[in-house]
Amino acid sequence: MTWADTVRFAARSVLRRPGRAALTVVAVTLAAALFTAMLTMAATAQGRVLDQLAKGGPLAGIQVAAAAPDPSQAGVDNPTRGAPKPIDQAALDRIARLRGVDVVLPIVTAQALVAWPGHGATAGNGVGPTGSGSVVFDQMVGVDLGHLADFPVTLSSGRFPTPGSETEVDVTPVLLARYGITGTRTRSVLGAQIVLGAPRGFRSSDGTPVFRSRWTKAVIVGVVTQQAGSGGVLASFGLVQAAHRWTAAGDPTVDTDADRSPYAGLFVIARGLDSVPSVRAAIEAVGYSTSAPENLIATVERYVHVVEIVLTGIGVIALAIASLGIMNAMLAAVRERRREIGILKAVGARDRDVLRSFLIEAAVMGAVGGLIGTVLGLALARLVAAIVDGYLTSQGLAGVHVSTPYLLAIATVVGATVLAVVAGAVPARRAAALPAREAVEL
Amino acid sequence: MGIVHRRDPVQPVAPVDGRGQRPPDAGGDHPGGEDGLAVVGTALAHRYDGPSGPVPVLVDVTFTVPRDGYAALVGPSGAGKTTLLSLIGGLEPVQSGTLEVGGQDVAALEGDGLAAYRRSTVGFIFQNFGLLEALTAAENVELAATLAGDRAAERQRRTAELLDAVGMSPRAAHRPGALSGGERQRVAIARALVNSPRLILADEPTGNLDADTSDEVMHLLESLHRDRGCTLMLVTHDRTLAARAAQQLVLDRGRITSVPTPAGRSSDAG
Repeated sequence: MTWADTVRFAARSVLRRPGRAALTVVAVTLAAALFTAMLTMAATAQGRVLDQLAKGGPLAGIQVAAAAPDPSQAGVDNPTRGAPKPIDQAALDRIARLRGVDVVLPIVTAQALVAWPGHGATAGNGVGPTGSGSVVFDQMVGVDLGHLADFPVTLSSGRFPTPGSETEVDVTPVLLARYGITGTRTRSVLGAQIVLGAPRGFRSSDGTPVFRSRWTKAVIVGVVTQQAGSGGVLASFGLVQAAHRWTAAGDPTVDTDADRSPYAGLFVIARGLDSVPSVRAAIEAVGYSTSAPENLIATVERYVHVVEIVLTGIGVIALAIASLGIMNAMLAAVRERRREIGILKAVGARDRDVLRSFLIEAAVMGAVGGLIGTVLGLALARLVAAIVDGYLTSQGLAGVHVSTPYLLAIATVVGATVLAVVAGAVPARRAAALPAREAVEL
Repeated sequence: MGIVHRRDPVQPVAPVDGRGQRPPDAGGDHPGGEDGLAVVGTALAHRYDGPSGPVPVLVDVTFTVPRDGYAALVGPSGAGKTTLLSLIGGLEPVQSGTLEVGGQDVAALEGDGLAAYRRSTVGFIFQNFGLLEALTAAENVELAATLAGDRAAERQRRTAELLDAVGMSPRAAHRPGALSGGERQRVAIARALVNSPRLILADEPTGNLDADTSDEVMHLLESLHRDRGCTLMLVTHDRTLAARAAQQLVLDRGRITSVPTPAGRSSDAG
């Protein structure tokens, strides 16, 4: 029998038992879908977590403090800092030119008096403008809101301030707690107006130290947790820089706590994950204390790899179970078709004709199931990615995008076919070994 | 109804030895240019494994069916008729004794050689027709030629001719389930002939048919034997049908009890 005739005969045998064939194909389909989805998601997760880390991102960022490094803290993720050391534009430019540095994002902080009309603060000092009620002393953190995805900032509710906005701010739960607002009530602050004061110290004509504040109205548009800088208010770089300059221009003998460093810190994104240690070392050589979650990243890498292995294992197990399904279905088919196989042999079929026919049946079911399953798996992975993407985007983080893993798709279809053939080998050999006398009822 | 006279040149018309020579007993003198094969069994013995040990089915069976012969295997149930037919048809391996078909040692065949023997030398007709339910009548007939690797056009032509010869052309596209018993047996006969075998083995070919249909089928088989010149061996319980054969091999409990000569003279088996 020629191969073409064998394929036609095998196809007819499959179609002759549509129910069983469909169930077998469904088993392979589900397994292939699971396998494809698992591996696609694992690859995407790896791409999102590790590759994105490798390219940069919050976890790969190096925080540079306006302080000298402490030599005893070398290699520590979050070292204690040495003596304060201002970061000016020249230092920023120098760091930006270091080998392995991709982006340098300045962070500015400013002292802030937060007045919230109608709200009594637990630690207010009553120095706010008329009608503002008690105020609390805190800090504002200003970053380039266009690069928020690069900062360690997580949105809890609301949204981030519009880049460049001088009136929109986010606040942290720590600040809200000082007003007695905690838990789910934090959402209620969205849209509330607060007044932010930047204090400046000076001496009156008689030498008495006096503070005067420059007040700005702002609207709370979101609640965030952030580690970009120390402070309960997150605002645009321009807004905070203006407040910082106002305060820094005061009399240093009056406001000794005022931070006069042009930048409170820098967030340095290395070109790759591998570059982080060398960039950290170079920045510290410039004279600034740095912190970066190097050890955390290594741990994350290990965990992601473990997750990848587990997901792959689940997919492989699914395929193995599907293979057993194919084997079971085909063994049942051999049992049912003993007489048919006997007739085939009685009219001249060779053992290999029968063997080929059964192997092709298995291959057809494996290929069809593998193909449908791969398509379903990719669709499932995209669906999950879309959900995750929506969540990440809502958090102001970079989304995930699943690319079509063509090699994985081809490998899954081929793999499912090969596994089906392997699973069908035992039934096929059993069928081929049946004697021709099965054709006659002795 | 006409019977097709054909000998496919690509099919083996007779067993050949290693030098490509046909043995002396391979036939060749049929008026139509076609001839059957002599079947010679000597001291054949066969047993099956039963739950309480081997069960002898054939015991020292010796017989000769001449080329172009027409032999009926008769005997009670369990006498070993179907087993003997299966040995001759290559469905069962020869365990003991010798069996020659057209001078070819059937016991020596195995694997592809045995498959080729079943495909081309023998045409087997089953009591229960042995048709594949998934295939149409035409596809069942064509199947044997397909297994032989024949080109599609050629095997379809032969299938059409044979279905016409057995009067089944109008039912060619029907599956076995849609055919009557007689029609199924006609299809089975057509399938048995598609590779132009020189030995037709029929196991109770009328066992599942009514009297009229049985008569039709027997006439068809006999005309095939007569017109095509192939050897015909059939198993039957029916003494009347057996009497139509030129030779009767009477089996009882695995032994041949009488071996009527081809001329009709009966003698006790030795």
